[in-house]
Formats: sequence, structure tokens, C-alpha cells
Amino acid sequence: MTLASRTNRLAGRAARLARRARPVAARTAIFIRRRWVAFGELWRRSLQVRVVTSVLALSSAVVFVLGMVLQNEITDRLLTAKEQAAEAQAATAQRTVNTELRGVNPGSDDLPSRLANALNSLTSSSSDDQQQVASSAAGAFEPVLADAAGQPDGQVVSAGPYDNVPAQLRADVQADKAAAQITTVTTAGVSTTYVVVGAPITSASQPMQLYLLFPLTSEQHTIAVVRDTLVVGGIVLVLLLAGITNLVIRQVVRPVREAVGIAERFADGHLDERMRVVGEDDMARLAEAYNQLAESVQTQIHQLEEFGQLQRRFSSDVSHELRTPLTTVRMAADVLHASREQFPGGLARSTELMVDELDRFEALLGDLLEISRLDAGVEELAPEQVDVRGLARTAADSVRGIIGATTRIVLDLPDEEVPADVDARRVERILRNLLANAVDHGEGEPVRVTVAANERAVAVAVRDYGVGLRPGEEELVFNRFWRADPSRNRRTGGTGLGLAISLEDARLHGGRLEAWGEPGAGACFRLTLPRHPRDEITDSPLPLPPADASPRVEPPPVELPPVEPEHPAEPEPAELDAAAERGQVAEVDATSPDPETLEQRTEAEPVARDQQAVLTPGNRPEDGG
Amino acid sequence: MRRRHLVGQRHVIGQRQLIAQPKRRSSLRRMVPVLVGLVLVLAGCADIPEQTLPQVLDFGGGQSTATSVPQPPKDAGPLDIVRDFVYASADPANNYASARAYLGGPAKDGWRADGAITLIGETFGTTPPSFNLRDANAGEPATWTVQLHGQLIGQVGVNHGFAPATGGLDRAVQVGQEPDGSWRIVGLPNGVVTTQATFLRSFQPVDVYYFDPSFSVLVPDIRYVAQEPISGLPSRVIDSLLEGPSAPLSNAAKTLIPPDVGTQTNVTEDDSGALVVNLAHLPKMTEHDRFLMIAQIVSSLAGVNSTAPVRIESDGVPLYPGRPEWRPADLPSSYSGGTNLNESEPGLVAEHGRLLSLKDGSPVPGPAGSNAYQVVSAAQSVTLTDAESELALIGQIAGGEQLRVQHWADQSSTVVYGAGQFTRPSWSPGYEVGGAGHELWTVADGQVLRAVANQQGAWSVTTVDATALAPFGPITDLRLSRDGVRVAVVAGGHVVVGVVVANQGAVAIQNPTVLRPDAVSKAVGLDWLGQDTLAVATSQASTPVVKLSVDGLREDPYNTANLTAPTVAITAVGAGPVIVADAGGLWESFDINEVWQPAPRVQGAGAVPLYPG
Repeated sequence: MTLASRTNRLAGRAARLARRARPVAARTAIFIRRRWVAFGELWRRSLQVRVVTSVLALSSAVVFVLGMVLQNEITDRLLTAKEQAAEAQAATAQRTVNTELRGVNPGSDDLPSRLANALNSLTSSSSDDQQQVASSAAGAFEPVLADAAGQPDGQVVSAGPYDNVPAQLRADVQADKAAAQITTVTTAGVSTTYVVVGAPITSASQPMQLYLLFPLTSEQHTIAVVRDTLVVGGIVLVLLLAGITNLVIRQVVRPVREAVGIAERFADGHLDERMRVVGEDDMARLAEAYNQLAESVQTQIHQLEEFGQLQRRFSSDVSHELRTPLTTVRMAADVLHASREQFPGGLARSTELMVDELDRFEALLGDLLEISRLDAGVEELAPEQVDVRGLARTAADSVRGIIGATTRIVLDLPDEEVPADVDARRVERILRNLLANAVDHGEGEPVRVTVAANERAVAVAVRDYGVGLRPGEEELVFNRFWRADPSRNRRTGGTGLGLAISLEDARLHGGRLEAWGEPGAGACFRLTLPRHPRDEITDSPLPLPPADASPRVEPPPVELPPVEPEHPAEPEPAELDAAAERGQVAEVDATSPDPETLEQRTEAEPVARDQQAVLTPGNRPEDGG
Repeated sequence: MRRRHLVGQRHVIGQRQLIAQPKRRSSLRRMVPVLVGLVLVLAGCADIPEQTLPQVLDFGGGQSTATSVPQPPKDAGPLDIVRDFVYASADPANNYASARAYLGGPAKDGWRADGAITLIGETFGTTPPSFNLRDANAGEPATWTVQLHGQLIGQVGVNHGFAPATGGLDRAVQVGQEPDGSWRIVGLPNGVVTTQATFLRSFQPVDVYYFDPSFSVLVPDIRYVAQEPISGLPSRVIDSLLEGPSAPLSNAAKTLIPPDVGTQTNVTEDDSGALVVNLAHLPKMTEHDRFLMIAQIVSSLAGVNSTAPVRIESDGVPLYPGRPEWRPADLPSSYSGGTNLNESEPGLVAEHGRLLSLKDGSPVPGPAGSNAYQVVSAAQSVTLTDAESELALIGQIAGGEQLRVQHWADQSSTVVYGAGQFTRPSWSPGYEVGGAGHELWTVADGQVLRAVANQQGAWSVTTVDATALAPFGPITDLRLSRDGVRVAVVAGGHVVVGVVVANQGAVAIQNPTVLRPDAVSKAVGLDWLGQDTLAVATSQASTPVVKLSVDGLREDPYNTANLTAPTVAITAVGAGPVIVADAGGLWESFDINEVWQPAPRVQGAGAVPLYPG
């Protein structure tokens, strides 16, 4: 195998390794990120994790600072003690060497052996070849003697490891000052830290220098032991603290969690849930207060329920009780009405009036009964597969029958069948109610009915171009007997319960009924029903507000606040336009060939504005069935 | 409109929050390194620092001992500079600092002063300088080459011993001008050259002691150590002692101190005032050897330390068990080699064939004192009293002389040897053969003889191998030192000192050294003034009596007052006066500077004074 091929193979292997390592790194990064996210979740949600982590972090910091302070102190003391002892030892050694070197004269004496002898007097060892080490109260030391100024050629005559003495210290001692310095010397790869104390020797015929090198090895060892002990102790302490905190915080968190569970179950309707009260501590007081709160809430809910039931039963009873005499009155009135031609004019008119009001009365009673049945929950859904388009047509036809030709009802229906499992009677009633309401408030403008469907839901929107709704009234319109303008003249004579019944019917289907309105721009009611009663609906096939509403009154869509994410079906403006276009096309196709619808709408705009301008709060359009 | 405004505001607020959040995070991120740094700094503080700055402590060393060195005068010329440099070179203080003051340029740091010190005579010359033209042309300060020449006396070697030398010294010394115009020596050979007198002003002769081969007596060996600082003297003496005997004594003296023994600590006084000699690397030794070693040390230190006891230790423990401190008085007096004069009976004098006492002029009892033997010269062995002593007599007979030996007051004497002419005999301490009075040296007709008595008192005469002395001329006087180790002769008018070396019964004189041939060339007689000093009588008119150190360095003429040249005989001993005989009679003097006094009890010419020995 040649070297090149081997190199290639190696390079290839490295590349493969790198390729393999990259996904591993990425996976690791993903894993770490997930863990981090999971921890963040835990951090946000768990008081215990937060407290324990905080205690861990804070106690670590405290232990660290404490350890540092302790170690600093110990190091400081050790060093100070060592330096003092070394200083004392150096002073003693200086005296000894002063005696030893008394009268030594470089030039006439064998200086190296004199210096070696002087060192011998400091050390007990007699061997010359190995490094001389003496022991003292300050620990072992290596003495050095030097005659820095002795030789004319600048050479230094010395005994002992003179090279280990730092130059700064030499300078100080040569200037007749005793000095100490810490230095580190590396010999044969082993570095040793010394305290070097230097002292001038003055007894010889020229100044010489004595240095004592005290190795700090044992001190370093001691400090290492202290540091290790502190680290281990600190870790154990922190862990113990964390454990203790965990135990303690659990005592607090466990009742809190229990309370959370109880409150959640309470909110879910288990009104009998109560917290356990143990002892007299804060948790017990919290439990007590919560229990009192729950008690009071439960009582009030019961009272309200009872009150509501009482009211519903009362209205139901009243309706029932009124029915019997009403039947009698009705029959009597019908007799009178049948023979009204025999009565004088005024009387005949009264009879007609009576019969009309009796009709209304009957309708009202019927609605009352219906709504009280809905309230009592006794109404049953009778779903069957029907084409919603047919229901819309039927409803439109029946409403046309009532109102005649005063208002045009435009049907905007899809081409294909829109089948759904719904209670046809109820849906038809809803649509009738909506159409009646739209005609009622449509100010004679055409009313448009749009049907659309997706795979899960069908929607029917009833759009009018009348006075519209003021902000906030979208919810109010479904209230019973709610009127936008109490003084408003009734045209269709709704009972005020139609929309409420419609809402209940829609709910019965598991659907939704929503309203939208703008003053002057008209209103739109959208019924969304699941195709099957058990289905959950998440979005509606039709937009609300309607596609033709937004550009005229609302600010441009780009400046709108971010739409709530709960409306994923909210179409983009472009889609809105497209839908509107489709609708127009469908309208032309499906309802009538009359092309003036578009014009009407464009013409209706200034009219609506004018009306809005003229309208006073006193003659606001009246809502309700 | 209002709603729109509000919406806009909320929008802005939302934006602001969106912007603010990453900002906070980034500042937090920026704080992390700061915090980590803080932690590291704190952690660093908690450890022992690796390096600090020097901290001055308050136990200083006081005033510096450095003394200022006198500078040569500014207007000194090149010749003066060289002369003064030679004189200043004698002072070794601080590595010859005073001599270095005369150096300049490359010589200032390049001159090495270690090695032997060369001594020259007091009168030395400096020849006038010759210009170095090349330097002058180059515009540089002119360099003058001064020739230094003088009479060589000898060298003091690294072992501090003196070795005489003869001949002339000639050295070229370059002298240059410093920028300030003063002259300095800029080039010279390494080594110190100085005159003998200035050398002796800075160096002190000390005796270090070794043993004779039989370990009976201590033999001094002269060394020269720096005088200053005085407190360092004991150390220098011990250093010299440890170096072993110097070359002349090398085969005649022994040391008990093994050669690799050094001092563990410097020789200094301890707190109790004792001089501590702490030896290192001592091998195992017998107690007697230790005692002998102690004797060497204590005797050697006695010259520089008169009062303090000497504490001798080996690696910190007393060298001699149970006895840490020693004084010279603790040593047996026999070690001193019989140099002590018996004060009550201070020697004899041979006069007109009789032997008289120097004390009162009374004749020696018996025939020796009555001119029976025609005594011309004699010798008395070293004893405590005259009555114990043996006498060696040179008696005149027809056609020659006889060497007789007798006990002090014996009526009879033994003729040992006969020859044409004898020199004055000299008793050896005779350690080998049974004590004083058993060995006798003399020169008979130029031959060095050694007469030895056996245990029965029978005398035998052997020739001493004196071939080493042959080059110096005929031997006219011979004196054995009273320790028996050295022998001094007058050969050819010069004083020559050798050592006695016994080798398997054969005795030889070796390592001859001529002492100061420049000063003493007409010697007629000599005697040992001490173990290392000779008193020499000469026929030189200017220096009739000279004191010489045995190594040949020191030469001190005695006062000439009252003496009439030439002197004919001399005797000397450590404690007594030096007695010389001249044409007028006997004269005595205690000191070299003292005026000679007539010896009171013996008068007349032709007397030969003799102290025991």
C-alpha cells in the first residue's frame, strides 16, 4: 500500500467521521435545546424547582465566597507565620554566618571553601555534593552564601544554589538591606516555590550576602488539602441545603398543589370539593378561607340556580296557565271575527285588532313555552340528513310569504348539495328568525342569504344592509326581549325571543350563532353547524364580518391589530375579495338575473351614511325576533 | 382614530420588548466572562503567590564593611605607577583591591592575582619607557612599555610556603593613559610580584607543626598567611596545616591529618571564646593518633592565638573523647624538641683547651675541664641538668683531632673517631636509638659522620649520605636541629639547610636549600636559634651575625655594635642569648636590634661557646 493511498484512506475516514460527527452534534444540540425548553417549562410551572434551584445557586455563591474567604485567611496566616519564622531564622543564621565569616578576606583566603564552611555551620549535614538542607523552626531551608562584589570580572563566588535567588532580592541585599521575597524556581521540570530571605553579612572584609530558601511545599500541600476539604465540604453543604430546601418546600408546595387540584375540580363543577384543614398554620387558614369562599360560592350558585329554575318554571307555568283561557278567548274572538261584518265599523275594527293581538299573544306564548322547554333541557334533537340549501329556500319562501315584496331576499347558494345531519324544523326556524330579523331591520334593502360548507361544518349567513349594530351589541342581540331601540316601530311584530331561541337551537346542534354589525353598514348573522351533531366545529366556512363589510368601514387590513390566533379561518384580504367576487357571481346566477344588485349596493352606501347621520339614539333599529 | 393610535403604540411596545430581550441576554452573556474572571482572580488570591516583590525587613546588616581603596596620585608618572603597583601588590585584601587601583583598561578585569606570589629584592629597577610609536601615531593615548627588573628571592606558593629562587626577574609592563590623563597599567602578566619587605608587611609567618617520622617531636613548617583581617588568622593557619608539609619537609615530616580532611566550619571563636576547629571527613583513627593530631593543631594555632582554648571537633563532636578543649600547655613538653634552655646551667664554652661553664666560668669537672684533652670544640646533649648530660669533645692531638665522648663528670672518655679536622659536633635527639646522648653528628675532613652508641655504650661511626650538599662546597660547620629533623651546614660560605631522611638504617641529607645566598655568602658558623631559625656568624663586615629563617625568606642582621669582624663562632638556643665569639671575646645579645654585650663570666679571645645540642 502506498503512502498516498494510505493518506487518502485516512483522510476519507476523517471525513466520514466528521460527517458522522455533524449529525451527532446537531442531535446533541437539539437534545440540549429540548432539555432546556423542558427545564424552562418546569421552571415556570414548579415553585419547588424554582425555589430549590434558587437556593442551590445562592447557597453555592455563598459557600463559594465563604470558601474563598476562609482559604484566603488560611493562606494568609500560613504565609505570615512562615515568613515570620523564616525572618527569625534568617536573623539567627545571619549572626552565625557573621561569626563564621569574621575576618574572611577574599584574595587571601579560599573564599569558596570558607563560604561552604559557613554554610556547614548552618546545616548539620556534612556532605558537600548533595544540596545542603537545614531544618529549623521555620522548616527546612537551603542556605546560600554569595560574594557578589568579590571578583573583578563580575563573577560571583557563592555556595549553595545561588541561581535560585531572584535578581531583585540580590539587588536589595547587596544594598545592605535584609529582604524577603517569594519566588518559584523550576529545576528539572519540578517547580518549587520558596520564601527567600536575604541578609547582608558584614563581618568579612567585604560585604557578602546570605540567603535562606525556605521551600513552601508543605504550605502548598496544606493549602491544597484545605482547598479540597472546602470544595468537598462546600459541595456536600450545598447538596444538603438543596435537599433540606426540597423537603421544606414540599411541605408548602404539597398543600398548595392539593389546593390547586381542589380549586380546579371546584371550577369543573364539583362544588362539594373542600380543602382539608390540618392544624392552625397559614395553610390551614388558607384552606379555611378557601372553604368559606367555596361554601359561599356554592350557596350563591345554588340560590341562583334555584332562582333561575323558579323563574323558568314560573314562566312555563304562566304560559301553560295562560293557554287554557287564551284558547277560550281565542275561540270567542274567532266567533266574533267570523261575524264581524255584522258589527258596526268600530266594533268590527276592534274585533280585527283583538284577533291580531291574540295571534301575537299566541306566538309569544309559543315562544315562551319553547324557550322554557329549551331552558329545562327537555328539548330533543331530531337529526336527519337534509340539504341545507333546501332549508334556506324554504325559510326564504316562508318569510317572503309574510312580508310580500317589500324586501328582496337574495339567495346565494352553492351548486352542489349541502347535506347535513340537522333537525330540519329547528334549522328552518333559526333561518326564519334570522330572515325575519334581517327584513325587519333591513330598511328595505335586499337581504342576502349565503350558504357555504366545508367537510366538517355548514354555515348560513344572513346579511342585511340596514342600520347595523353598534359596537357591543353583537352579544346583546341574543338576549331575551332585548331591543336596540325600545321605541322603535315594529313591523314584523317579533316576540323578542326569536334570536334567543335560535341561539339555543344552534347550541342544541353543537353549532354557533354569531352576529356582526356596523352602524350604517348593516348586520350579518352567521349560523355555523356541524355536519354531524357530535362533531366539534373549529372554524366556519363563511367569514364574519362578511367579506363586503371590511373595506368600507374598517381601517385597512394592514393596519389592523394582529388577529387573534383562535380564528385560523380568517381569510386574507385577497381571499376576501375573491369570495366577494364569487358571491356576486353566484348571486347573479342563483337568484335573479337582475343585475342591479351591485348598483344597489353601491348606491345604498350614501343612503346608509345619511341614515346614520340622521338617526338619533332614540330611533335606533330594534333587534330581536 | 384613537384605537388606531393605541394599536400603533402597542405595536411599538411590542417591538421594544422584542428588541430589549436579546439585549438583556447579550449583556448577561457579556457578564459571564467577567464573573468567571472574578472567580478565577479570587481563586488565585487564595493560593500562595508564585512571585512577589522583595520586602525589606528590619534586621539589616548595619554598615557595610567595604573600605575605600586609596587611588594612586593623579600626577604619578608611568614609572611611579609601576613601582607603586609592585608595593601595593603585597596587600591581598579584597582580592588585591589596592593593587587593582593601579590597573586600567583590559588589565583591570583581566589581571589574575591568584597563584604564587613572586618576591624580589628591595632594590628593583624600572627601565625608562619606550614609546609605542604605532599607538602614538594613531592618536590614541600612548602606551608605554616599562621594563620591571629585580633580584628574584623566591616564591610563596599556593600552599603558603616559601620556596627560594635565584636569578633575575624581568617583566614588561604596559602603561597607558586614561581619558583623564592619569597613568594606569593596561597590560601585565598574571601573578603578583612584590618585594620581600612589603610582602612581610602584609603577610605574617606562622609555624604549622608536623611530626618527625618517629612521632616524637613536632616540627615547624613556616607558612605566610595574610595578616588582615586578624580575626581570620586561625582559619588561614588551619588551612595551611591541612595542606600538609611543604616541599622541603615532604619526606622528613609526617602529618596525622589525612590529606582529604577539610574543615566543616570556619575556624572562629564561639560564644564562649573558644576557637572552634571542626574537621570534616575524618576517617577512623586511634585515640593516640587523634591526640597527635590535636597536638599538631594546638601547636599550629599557638602562634596566632595566645589565650583562647581550642575546641577541636570532628563533624561537630569532640575529636578526643571526653576532652573538647585544648591549650598548648596540655601537650607534653617533649614535643617541643629540646629547645628549652636549662636556665640554671646555660651551656659551656671551650677555651684554651678547657671546657668551662657559661654560668660562672668554672671548669667542667674532670679532665675535660682541665685541658687534658686540648678541647677545641665540644657538644653537650640536651638534658635537664648538666649532670645527666653527655659530652662530645673534639680534642687536639698531634697531627689531627679526636672525637671523644664521655658522661658529664666522667674521668675517662671514649675516643670515637679520629680525623684531621672535625667540625663542632652536634647531638641528635636520637629517637631511633634510645634517646639523647646516643647519636652524634659531625663533619670530619669534609665527610658527614654519624656516630651512634648502641645499648651497651659502644660507639660506631657511619657516613651520612651528603651528596645533596656536595654542589655547595666544603662543609665547614654542621648543626643538627634540636628536633633532629633538619640539618644546617655552612658549605662554601653559604648556609644550606637540608632534612635528615632515614631509610632502612641509611641516613641521608636531602632537600638542600641555600638560604639567602644574596645576603649570606661568607658564613663561618651557625646554630639553631629555634626549630625554624638559624643564627649565622659571618665574616662579612656589614652583617657579622644574621638571623635566618629556615625557609630562606627572612634575613635579619643583628646589630653590629661592639662586634669586631670577623666573628668566629656562634651558639644559640631558643630562650638564651645568642653568643658569638670574635677576636675580642664572647658577646651576647637577646635581640637583633640589641647592642652586643660582653659575656660577663668568660672573657678572652679564642673561646668557642656552645649551648646544649
